[in-house]
Amino acid sequence: MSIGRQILKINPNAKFSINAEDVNQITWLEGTTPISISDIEAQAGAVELEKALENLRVKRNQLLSETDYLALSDQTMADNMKTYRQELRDLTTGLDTVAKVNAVTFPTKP
Amino acid sequence: MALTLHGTRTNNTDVLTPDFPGAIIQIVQGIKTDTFSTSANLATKATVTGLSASITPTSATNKILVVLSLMGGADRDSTYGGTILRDSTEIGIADASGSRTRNTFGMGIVADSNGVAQARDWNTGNISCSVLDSPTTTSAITYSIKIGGNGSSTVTVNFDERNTNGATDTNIASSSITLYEVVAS
Repeated sequence: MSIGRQILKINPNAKFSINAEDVNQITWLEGTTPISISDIEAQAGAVELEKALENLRVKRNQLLSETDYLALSDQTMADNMKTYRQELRDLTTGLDTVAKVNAVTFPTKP
Repeated sequence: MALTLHGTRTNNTDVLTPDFPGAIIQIVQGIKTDTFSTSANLATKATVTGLSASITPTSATNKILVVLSLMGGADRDSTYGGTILRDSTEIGIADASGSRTRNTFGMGIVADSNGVAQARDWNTGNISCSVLDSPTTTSAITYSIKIGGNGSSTVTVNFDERNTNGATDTNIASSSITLYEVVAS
């Protein structure tokens, strides 16, 4: 869970504290208008997808960085490496559910 | 060779309470094993629920050594700071400097690298901080913690903000505040 993120998706300026990641232990600060538990919980899916995509991008970016040196001006990149890197860049296209993100298979490095 | 014991015998028992300077005569610990997060900024801060400890000094001249160990995190690049409070009084805070927020402890959390997500929301750090306080009282006092961030990030205690169940690299921990009553003179 990430209740804080779920709240900030609804109101990016919300001030609050949360104990034990429990929606029943939210304290609204600095005059922030309370958001209903149901509205907060309704954001759970979107936040989980956001996190899953972030995790995927981290790993993807690491793989891209491993071959960045091949894109330097004094290097000639082989076609299969260009394909590999493009597949990495396209990896997140069409991923609109956590299940799809979790099912992603990374391309094999040439 | 004669052995001299420095202490106070109480109630005509064989229990000797040390009374020499530097002796630790009482230890109390509050430990927080669940989580906390807030979007409060450094200026306003929020009290960390459940991370506190109370002690009743045996002498008004004794000091209280407050030792804080805290795991903190943030969901984005953020400053992270806070204060230790004796009841409602902030202790061990920085000298006044312009309009800067004065804190007891702080750190910075970099979650991105050149604007590109690298580690993001599972960045955490451990804060270890100690303050030798002079409460000058024999009444019960409570030490607690307030934290804040940059106001646009969520700062956390005891977990990385990603907090993904089932992920082998998601990190949760505990934080504690320990109070030592130290004989001053």
